[in-house]
Order: sequence, then C-alpha cells, then structure tokens
Amino acid sequence: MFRIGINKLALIRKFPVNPGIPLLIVLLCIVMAIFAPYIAPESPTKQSLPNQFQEPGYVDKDGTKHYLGTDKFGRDNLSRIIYGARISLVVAVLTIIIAAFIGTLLGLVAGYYGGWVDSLLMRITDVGLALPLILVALVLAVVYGAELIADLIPINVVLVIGLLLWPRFARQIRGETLAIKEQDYIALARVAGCSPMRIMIKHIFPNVIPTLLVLCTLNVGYVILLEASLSFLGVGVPPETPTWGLMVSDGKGVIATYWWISLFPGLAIMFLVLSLNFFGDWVRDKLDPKLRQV
Amino acid sequence: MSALLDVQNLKTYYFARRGVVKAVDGVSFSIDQGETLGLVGESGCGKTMTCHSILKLLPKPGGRIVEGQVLFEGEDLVLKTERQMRRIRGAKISMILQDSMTSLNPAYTIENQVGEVFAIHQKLKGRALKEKVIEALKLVKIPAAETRLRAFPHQMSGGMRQRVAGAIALGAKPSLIIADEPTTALDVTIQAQYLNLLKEIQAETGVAMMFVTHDLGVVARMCDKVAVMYAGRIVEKAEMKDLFRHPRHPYTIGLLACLPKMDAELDKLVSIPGQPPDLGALPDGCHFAPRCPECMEICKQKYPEERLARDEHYVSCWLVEK
Amino acid sequence: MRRFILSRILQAILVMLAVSVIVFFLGRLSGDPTDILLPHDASEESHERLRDHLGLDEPLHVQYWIFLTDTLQGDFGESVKSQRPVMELVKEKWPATLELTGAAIFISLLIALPVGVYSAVRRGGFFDFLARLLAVFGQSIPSFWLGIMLIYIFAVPQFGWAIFPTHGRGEDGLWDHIHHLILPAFTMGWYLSAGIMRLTRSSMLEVLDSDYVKLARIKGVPEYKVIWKHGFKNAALPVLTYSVMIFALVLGGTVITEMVFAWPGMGRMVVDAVYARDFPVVQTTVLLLSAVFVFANLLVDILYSYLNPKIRIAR
Repeated sequence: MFRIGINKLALIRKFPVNPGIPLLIVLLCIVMAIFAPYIAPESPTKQSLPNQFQEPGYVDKDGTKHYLGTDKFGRDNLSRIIYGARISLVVAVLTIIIAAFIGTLLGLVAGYYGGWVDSLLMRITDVGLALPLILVALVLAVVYGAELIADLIPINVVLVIGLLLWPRFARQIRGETLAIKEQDYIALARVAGCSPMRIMIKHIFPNVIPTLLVLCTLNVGYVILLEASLSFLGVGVPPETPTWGLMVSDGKGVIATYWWISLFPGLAIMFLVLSLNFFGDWVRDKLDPKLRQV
Repeated sequence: MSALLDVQNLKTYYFARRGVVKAVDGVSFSIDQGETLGLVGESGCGKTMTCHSILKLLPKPGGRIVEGQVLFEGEDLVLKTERQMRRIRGAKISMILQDSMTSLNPAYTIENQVGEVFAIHQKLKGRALKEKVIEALKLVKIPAAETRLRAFPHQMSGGMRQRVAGAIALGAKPSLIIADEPTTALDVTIQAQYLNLLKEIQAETGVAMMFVTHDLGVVARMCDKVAVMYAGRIVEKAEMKDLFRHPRHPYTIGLLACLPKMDAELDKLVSIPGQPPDLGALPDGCHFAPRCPECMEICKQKYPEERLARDEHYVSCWLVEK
Repeated sequence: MRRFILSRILQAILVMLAVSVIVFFLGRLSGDPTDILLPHDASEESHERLRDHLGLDEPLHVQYWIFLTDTLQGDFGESVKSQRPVMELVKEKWPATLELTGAAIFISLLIALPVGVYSAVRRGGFFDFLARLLAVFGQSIPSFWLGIMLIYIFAVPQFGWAIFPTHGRGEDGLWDHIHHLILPAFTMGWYLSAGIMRLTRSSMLEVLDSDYVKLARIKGVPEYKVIWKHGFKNAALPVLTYSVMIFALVLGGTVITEMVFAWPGMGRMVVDAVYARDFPVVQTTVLLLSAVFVFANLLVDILYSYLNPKIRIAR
C-alpha cells in the first residue's frame, strides 16, 4: 500500500550511520587490550622519579619517547592507556554477560508465567532500579575491597555493576516475551504439549535474541562509563592499577599545569564509548525496527 | 462558467533515496460549484496524494509537485506561497479525513478544535467564537451541541466524532470539501447516516465536494461525476450514470464487476487478478496492462493518451478508437 | 482511578520495604558492624558494650524491626564520625544537591526541548544530523572528565580567561551563587540533555506523523502553532515523565559532579562517609535517594493518569 510505502521510504532517510569507523575503533581497543604487553612501550607501573610530569613527546635519558607524557610517578601515560583498555573491556564484557543472563532469565519467566510471578519479579526489578546505582556500588566496593583477579578482573566491580544492571534487561525482555506469548505458534507449541521450559527456551528465547543483542550493545558504553566513574572515585581497583578513570582522577588536582594526564585517558574513554554507541545505534537499526528513532 | 477547481496535468512525485515514486503522474479533472466528484481507485493508487497536492500538504522531505496546475477559483495554487495557502486551507478548501479517532487531537476539547478554524480565519474571540462553534456543531446535527463543547474526542462515539470532523471542515463555509474515505472507519449503519448528512449539508450550503473512495456503492449514491484512478493516473472519467452504464476501461469494468449485485449468484464474486504496480517502478506502456484481460501488444509499449469516448466521457485505453 | 492510585501506592510501599531490607543489610555486610564502628585497637570489652548498645545480640529480624521503626519515626541514627544526628547532616547538605540537580535539569531541558523538537520537524535535514550527533556525544563523554576539562578551559588561567570558579558553592549573594553553579550544572546537564533530546525527538516524530497534526495543517493553522500547540503538547507527556524520573535518578549521580567541583552536597558527604565507613550516613542517603526515586515514579504515574484524559477514562 502506498501510505505504508511512503513511511517506509521516509525511514530510509535515517541517520547515515556507517559502522565502519566505530567498529574499527572498538577493534583497535580490543587489540590494544589483548596485546598490551607487546604494544606498550613501557610497563604501566614502572615508576621513575626523574621523569615526573613530563610533557607529551618527552624523551627520557634512556631514549624512550613518551608520546603522551608521564604522570606524577613518571609512569608512561601511553602505556597506561593501552593497559587501561584491558580493565574497561573485561569489566564491560563480564558485566554485560551477568546482567544479560539474569535479566533474560527473569524477564522470560516473568513474561511467560504472568500473574503473581510476574508481579513479584517486576517489583524486584523496581527495587533494583530504585537503588542509587553508583552509591551502592561504592559501598559494596569499599566494604569488599579492591580485589583484582589475575591482575585483570576487578571482581567486585564486575559483580556489583552486573547485579545492579540486570533490571534494565529484565524489563525489556519481559515486555517482548509478553508480546511473543500471544503469537499463534506459541499456542500451537502448547497444544503440542511442550513444557513451559521448552517453550521458553526453544520458542520464545530465539525471538528475543535481536532485542537482547541490541540491549547488550547499547549498554556496553554505559557500563564502561560506569566503570570509569567508579575507578575515578578510586573504588574497586588498587590505586596503582592502570585504569582510565583512575588516570583522569590522577590528573584532576594538577589540571592547571599538567593537562595531559587527564586529557588523554578521557579521550580514550570518549572515543571507545562513542564508537560503541554509534555501533549500538547501527545494530538497533538493523535488528529492531521497533526501537528505531528512540 | 469556469470550474471551481480545475486540475491540469498534475504531477506529484516523491523523491526518496531509492528513486522516484510517481504517486500522481499527470492527472486532470475539474469540479464545478456545488458539484460532487468521486475519485475512485484501490488504496495506493495516488488518490490521497492527489488530495494533498491540492492543499499543498505533501510529505516532507521528498514530496513535490513537479508539473501541472491546480486552478482554484481561477488562481493557480501551485504558484501560491505557504502563507497564501494557509489562508485558503480550512477557509476555502477543507478536508475530512478517514478516521476521526486519530484526526482529532486528544489533548484538546471539541470547542478548542472546532473554534480554531474561526479563530484563525475570522479572528473571532470569546462569545462570538463560542456561538460560531455551536452553530457549526448544529450544522452537522450534533444533538445538544452546547453540552458537547467541553468534551474530549475520546468521550464521543465514532459517528459523533466524525461529525465534529465535519464541523471543522464545514464550519468556515468553504467552497470545496475534500472527503478522503470519510466513512470507512464508521459502522455500516452509521455510514449511511453520515452520507445523508453530507448530502443535506451540500444541498443547504452549496459546497462542492471531492469524494475519495474505493467504494463504488458510495459513489453511486453521492456523486455527479466520477474519475477512476489507477497507478497514479486517471484512466476514465465521466458523468456518474454514464460511467455505470457504459464503462469503457477494462479496469473500470473490472471494478464494477466486483460490486455484488442483487440478481447475481452470490458465489460468483469477481475480483481483478494480480496486484497494482509499484509506483516506484512502473511498467512501460499502460500501467494496467499486466492485469488487463484484453491486453494487446501496443498496451505493453506505449501509454494510451486520453480519448473522448462520447460526450464528457474520457478514457485512456487503446481499445477505444479515436 | 482511585483503585489504580491505591494499588500504585501499595506497590511503592512494598518496594520501599524491600529497599529498607537491603539498606539494613548494607550495614551488616562486613559481618560485625562494631569492627567498622570502633577503631582497630579497641578492646573486646568496648566491642561488647557497643554490640549491646546497638542491640546486636538480638536476632536479625528483631534488629531489622528496630531499624525499620526507628527509621519510620524519623530517627536515622547518629553519624559515627561527627556524632551528630544523620538527619541534621542531611538537612545541611540536601539544599546544595537539590540546587545542583535542579539547575542541571533546567539547563538540559533548555537545550534538549527546542533542539529535539526542531530536529524532529526538520527530520533528515542538516540540523537533525547535527542534533543527533550531539546526542551521541552527550551520552559518550564521561562527566567527570568533561567537568575537569571545563575547569581547564574556563576556570584556570591557562588560556587567560578564568571566568568561572573551580569549586564550592559561593557565598556572596545570588550572582556569586549562580556563578558557581554554571559549570557543574552544565557538566551534569550535558549528559542529561542527550537522553531528553532523543526522547523529545522520537515522540515528536510520532506526533508529527499523526492525523491530527495533518488536520491542523488542513485547518490552516500556522506552522509554529502546529508544532507547539498540536504537536508538542501531545509529545510532552513522555518527556515530562522522563524528566521527573531523571531528576530522581540523577540525585544519586551528583556524586561525581560534586567530587569534581568540590560541591558541598550530599554526594560528597556520602563519598566521605563511605570511605570513613560511617554507615548510618550511607544507609540514610541510600534510603532517601531510593525513596525519592520511588516517590517520583509514583507521582509520575498519578500525574500521567490525570494529564492524559484518555488514560483517565480508561481506568
């Protein structure tokens, strides 16, 4: 029909998102994270008092060039940024996995069973949403300390963000499940005697995967910002750890004179999150026409 | 006497990234004072775009009148500025949309929405405005009009809402009303009532009407003249009775055959095979050729010009001899 | 209608009860709270005395009950660090946070509403492109970094235009106040405006496609009136809802901004309290912020049903 035809055509004039460059930046960060020891010019924790607060481009006595300058302990900023990608990405991936798993599970159950199960689970998500996320994370991280598993996984940060993020997933998946439940093929599966478990896993879950993927990509950026905020507050990671948030925080007090310490890690966060958000928008446009425009 | 509305070779295209949609592709027709023209066709044939072209309310960005004239009271609307058009819309040409459920603003009262026409075009305020609103509501025979002023659209029945839409369209006494399938969203029993109401009002006020519909039954009831539209072009136009008695274009014949007749066997409902073409990729030659039961070689190559079949009866078909 | 409101109030109470349980356990997380409350070298005796004083010998559910009834009576306990009633501290810091949040929301609405509306009106155009680009940037810049960069650009003499103060709330009258408020409020508002803008744009797009906007144009209504009277009023509801929720949500998010700009509000107070393990203060703050969020949600639901006549009738 023509009326629909026009609307469809109008939608083609959407944001010209080209996923190429964002994807490239994300991949660059991943490569940086994995091969950090080979790429980084120096160890991220190597201190050197004579090299304190040196400007970007400074060449030290050993002939090492510090492209992004050094911080108050004379550590190489570039190396710290490269290593910092590790923590950010590890936290992001693990957190999203936890949140997506719990959220999908509870969303499916709530949406499928409805009734009091649904009410109960939705009230629980209400509680999760009501708690001030940063504060609770702060408290938990302080109480449980800054533990770093394998020098890489700030386990408390991961658990805290993961546990606080799942309501976002549960809400959306529940809504989707409610809609899918009404479809004829679900009724058919029920008539055929499928168990609720089987219906949820085999018939409903595959249909929420696009939404799930969209949620994941759209939340990765948010999680990275959150992790950076927490480490900016000095929470969850030991103080010498190279994380982007911590680096920005290190430079905060001396911004008037040593601007580069805060500037570059902040730019790193921005470019990564920006790329993830662009990429997320693109994934959403591809997979989920319902969420488009929002 | 010159016609009230004279549309000549109107072409309205929609420019999208994927190409050009020729929604209205060289349409001509005219409407005299107080006359009713029926514009008939399947959904998606460009009827609605034709209406919007007359009011110059085209989808933005992308919709554009590329050629032709829309002469209204002797002046070409295509050349008018937006500001000039605004003075015509609602005051001289108005429109009734399909579904009043969605065409009335849920956030405002009936009084506000009907009154807006007078506030804009007649600069009325306060008591005078209110009286005009009541008068307009009475014109469309809304019972106890005074009590309905403060109502919101969702508090009224579908039939009443559509009457309010009528009041908005007719309130400022326009000389032309475009009614775009005004009864499709209504219950069948209410439909007849509404059509009668429109006819009464027309007799009372002498307003001309352009009645857009896919329902030939409605056309038979309401119209003096009919234009049949297919894939962006008018394929046949004639006096209503003439068209029903002597349809010439195979498409019109097909449409008429689709009408259930009292005397025909009920199990023999006819339909036209195939789908209307994509307006973004029209075939060479006659647009109807792929579905036409009497398609000839020339039909696939060249679009037939409009010919006069008999008095005031025009057809675009190769079957009709010059 | 009344039933709807009642059931929403009941739900809110349930949620708050659950929150209070969590907050209660937040204070018991590290096992024995006396470890937190007393200095490291305190004697076993003083531990015992404090346990007794706090009622820690009682079973957990009794302790929770005491916590709950105290809280409901407005007794939030004393700060461990300053020995003052927590409520007193909160009352002192609360206005500063409220002020900052309010200003941030105000700035973000000021930016987001017109930009969102005209971005929808000029859909697909250059302005729309810029606006949407801006929105993605808004959601991608870490606010603590933005704050520091704003300080670097506008508040230190680096470029010779140190036109804003770097920290504090300002004491010399209204103008000084506003002067201090601008940078932190903008830092917060920048992030918020992205979300509000996207929402405004999308709900405007939906409304602009509607038949009633078409009818308004058919009536000959001038374009600005079509956009603001017929369009915006219908698009505003979700935006309003979102803004109220954001307001509640962001109260917790002031932590970062307050740290960057040394803003003397609740955020800084609670971060200090967390590090000092001053749990009564932390618990109270978490409880209060959750309560504000739940209350705001409740308010929005009720407001929604009043403002949207369609829902009002349906209920």
